[in-house]
Amino acid sequence: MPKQMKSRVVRLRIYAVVVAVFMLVLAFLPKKAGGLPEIENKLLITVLGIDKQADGYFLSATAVMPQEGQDGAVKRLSIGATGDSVSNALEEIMIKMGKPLELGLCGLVIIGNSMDGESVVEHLNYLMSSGKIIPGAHLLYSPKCSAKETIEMSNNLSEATSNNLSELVEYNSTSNNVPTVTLIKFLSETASKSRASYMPCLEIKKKEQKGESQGGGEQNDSQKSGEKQGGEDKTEIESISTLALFKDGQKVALFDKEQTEGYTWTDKLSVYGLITLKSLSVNGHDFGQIYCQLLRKKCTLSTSLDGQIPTAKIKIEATLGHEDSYKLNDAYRYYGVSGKEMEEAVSNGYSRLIVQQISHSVESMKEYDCDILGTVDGMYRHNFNEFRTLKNTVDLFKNTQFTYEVIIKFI
Amino acid sequence: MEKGKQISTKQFVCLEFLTSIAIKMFMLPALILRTVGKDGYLVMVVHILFEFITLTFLLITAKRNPDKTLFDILRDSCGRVLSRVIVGVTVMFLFVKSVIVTGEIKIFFNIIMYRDINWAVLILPLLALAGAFAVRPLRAMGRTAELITPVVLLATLVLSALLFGELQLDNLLPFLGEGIQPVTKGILTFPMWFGDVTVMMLFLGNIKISKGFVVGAYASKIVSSLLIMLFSVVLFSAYANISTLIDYGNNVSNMTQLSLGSQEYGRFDLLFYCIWLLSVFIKFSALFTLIVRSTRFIVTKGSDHLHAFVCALALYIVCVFVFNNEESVFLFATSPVKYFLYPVVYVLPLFLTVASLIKYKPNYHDLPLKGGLKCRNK
Repeated sequence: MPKQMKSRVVRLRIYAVVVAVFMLVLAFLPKKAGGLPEIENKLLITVLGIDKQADGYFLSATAVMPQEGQDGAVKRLSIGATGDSVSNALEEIMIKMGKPLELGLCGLVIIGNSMDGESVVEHLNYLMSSGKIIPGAHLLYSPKCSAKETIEMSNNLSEATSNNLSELVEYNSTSNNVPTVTLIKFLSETASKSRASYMPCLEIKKKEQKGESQGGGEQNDSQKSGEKQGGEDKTEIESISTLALFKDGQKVALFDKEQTEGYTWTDKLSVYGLITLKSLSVNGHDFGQIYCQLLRKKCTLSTSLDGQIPTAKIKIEATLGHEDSYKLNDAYRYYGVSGKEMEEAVSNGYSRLIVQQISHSVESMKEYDCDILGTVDGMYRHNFNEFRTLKNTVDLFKNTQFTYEVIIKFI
Repeated sequence: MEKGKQISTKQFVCLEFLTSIAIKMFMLPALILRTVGKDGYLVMVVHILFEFITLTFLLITAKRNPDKTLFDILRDSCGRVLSRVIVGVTVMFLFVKSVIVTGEIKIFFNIIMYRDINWAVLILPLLALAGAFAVRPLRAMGRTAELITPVVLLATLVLSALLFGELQLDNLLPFLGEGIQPVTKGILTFPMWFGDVTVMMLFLGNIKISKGFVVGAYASKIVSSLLIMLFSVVLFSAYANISTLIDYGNNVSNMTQLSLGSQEYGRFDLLFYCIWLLSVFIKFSALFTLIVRSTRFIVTKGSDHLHAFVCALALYIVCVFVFNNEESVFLFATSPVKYFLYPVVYVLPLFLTVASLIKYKPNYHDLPLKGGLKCRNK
C-alpha cells in the first residue's frame, strides 16, 4: 500500500474512533451528568389562573402528566399554591408537586375576579419577561368566580382533551366573531398612550342535571365522567362573548353583549360570524329578520388633531353573504322588489345597525374613560407633532368626536 | 492563492448571503430592542449600510487583484512585523465575534429547545465542524455553501411568510419619537454584531472571478439585508410599547410562534429555524478558518491541524469557562473593547483596497478564465 494511502487509512480510523467516542459521550453524558429531566418527570401546565388572597396570590393551574404504563395517555390535574407573588406561587407549586414546571405549552391565563381593584400588569409582565409564558398565550377574565373555580370547572367540560379551554379560545381567535387578546397584545396596549385593553369574559356554570329520564349517549357520558371525576358535576360554558375593560391593568368595567358587539366591529381579528338584522322593511313589505354571514372585514381608525380638536373616523368595509337568500327571491317574485332595491335596503339596514352598535360601544368607553380602541395612541403615532403641543391629554379620548363610515358588500 | 482550490463566483455569492443572514436575526434584534427601544431598527439600518461600504472595498480589491490574499497584501505593503500586528488585532476581533456566535447558538438551544443543555459537550461538534473546514481548502466551504444556500433561503422565506401576519408597521410610529439619542447610543453599543464583510476577507485571492461577481455579491447582500430587516421590524413593531419586557433569548422564533396563533400546529417553524441555523454554522466555520489562517500567518511554525486544534481549544476554554453565560458575552462585547477592535471592520478593507491600488497593477485580465483560455492583457 502506498505511504499516502496508508496515512489516509490511519486518519480515517482516528476519525472513526473520535466520532464513536463522541457519540458515546452524547448518549450518556447529557442525561447522567447534565441531569436533564425526562418529559414524564415534568409537570406540563396548559392553563394558569391568578387570584388574589388575603395572604398573597393563589396560582391555580391545569397540569397534564403522562400516565405510566399507558401509551400516550395523560392525566389531568388541578393544582395550585399560594405565594407572596406569582413567581413565589409558581415555586410553591413545584415544591408541592416535586417536579419542575414546563410552561411552554400554557396557552391560556385566567384572571379571577378577586384581582379586581388591583393592576394585573406586574404579574403578566413577570410571566412574559421571564419567558415562562409565550407571548401568544391568551388571556381570559372570570367575572363571576375565582380563576381557581373557573379552571376546576373547565376541567369538567370534557374528557376529550386536556386543554379544551385553550382550544376554545384559539378557535374564537381565528374563526369567529369574538374578540380575543394575547398576553403581548394586552401588555402592549396597556403600555400604549391609550393605557387600556380588554379581556374576554369566561363564565362557566354547573350543568343542571335533568334526571335519568333524558338518557341517551350524552347523559351516559356525563355519568361516566362523574364517576371518573369522583362525583364532580358536569359543567358548561355560559358565556364567552362579552368583554372586561382594563385601564392601567386594572379592571374598570364589564361590557354587555351589545357593547361588545360594537367593539367587535373594530377588532381587526374578528372577521367571521353571523350578523343579524332584526327587521327589514322594503316598499312597505316586512321581511322579518335577515341573517348574513360576515365573510371579510376591514376596519381602519384614522385620527386627527387639526386645530387641537381631537377627531377620529372609524371606517368599516364588510363583505357579507346572505344566509337566507330565498327572501330575496320572494321579494322579487311576490312583492315586485328588485334585487338591487333589496340589496340596497339590506345594505342600508346593516350600515345603520353597525354604526349604532359602534357608537353605543364608543359612548360606553367614553363613559368609563377606557380607550380600548387605541384612539389616543393613534393620535400619538399619526399626529405626533400636534400631540406634542397638547397641554392636557387626560380627557383627550372623552373629547374625541367620532364619525363612522360603513361600506357593505355582498357576495 | 491556492491554485485549483479556489471558490467560484457563485460560491462566493452564496457565502456572502449565508454570512450576512446568520447572526443578525438571532438575538440581536431583542438586544437592541431592550436597549434602544422601538427605533432600534434604525441601528440595524445604519450598520447594514456601513457594511455595504466595506463590501464595496472588498469587491474592488478582490476584482482588481484576484490572486492576492489578505496576507499577501498586508505583507507586501506593511512588511513582516506590522502585517503581523494588524493580523493579530484582526484575530482578536474575530475571536470576540466567534464567542458572540457560539453564545447565541447556545442561547437559541437553551431558550427555544431545551433549558438545561450541556454546552461543554454540545460545543464540541460545532468546533469539530469548524476545525474540519479550517484544515481543508476553501473550496470545501464554498461547495457546502452552494449546496445549502437554496434550502436556507427557502427556510428563511417560509419564516418570513409566517411573520407577515404580525407586521404592525403603525407601532413603529412616531419616527424617532424619542429623538436621535437612543439610536446613536445603539449604533455605538452594538458594532460587534455587525461587520460581517470582514469574514469574507478570508476568500480574497481565492475566488475565480467570473461574470456577475459584483452584481451577485451586491444582490445577495441586498436580499439578506431585506430579510434581516423584515425579521427585525416584525419584532420591533410587536414589542414597540413593551421593549423592556423582551429578554435575551426571546428572538424572532417567538414571533413565528405568536404569528401561528395556535398551539395546534405545534412548533413546525422550528424545523425551518434548524435549516436556517446551517448558515450560522457556515459563518462560524468561516470565522474560525480565518482565525486559524491568521494565526498560521503570525506563527509560521506548526501544521494546519495543530493551529486548528489550538484555536479550537482556546475558543472552547473561553466559551465554556470564561464567558459561560449570555450576559457576560453581552457585557464584554458592548464594553469599551469594541472601540479597539471594531475599527478592523472599516479600516482593514479600506486599507487593503488602498494598499493594493498602490502596490499592484490590476491583473484580472492576466488570469486564466474558466476553460483554460487566457484573456488578452489590455
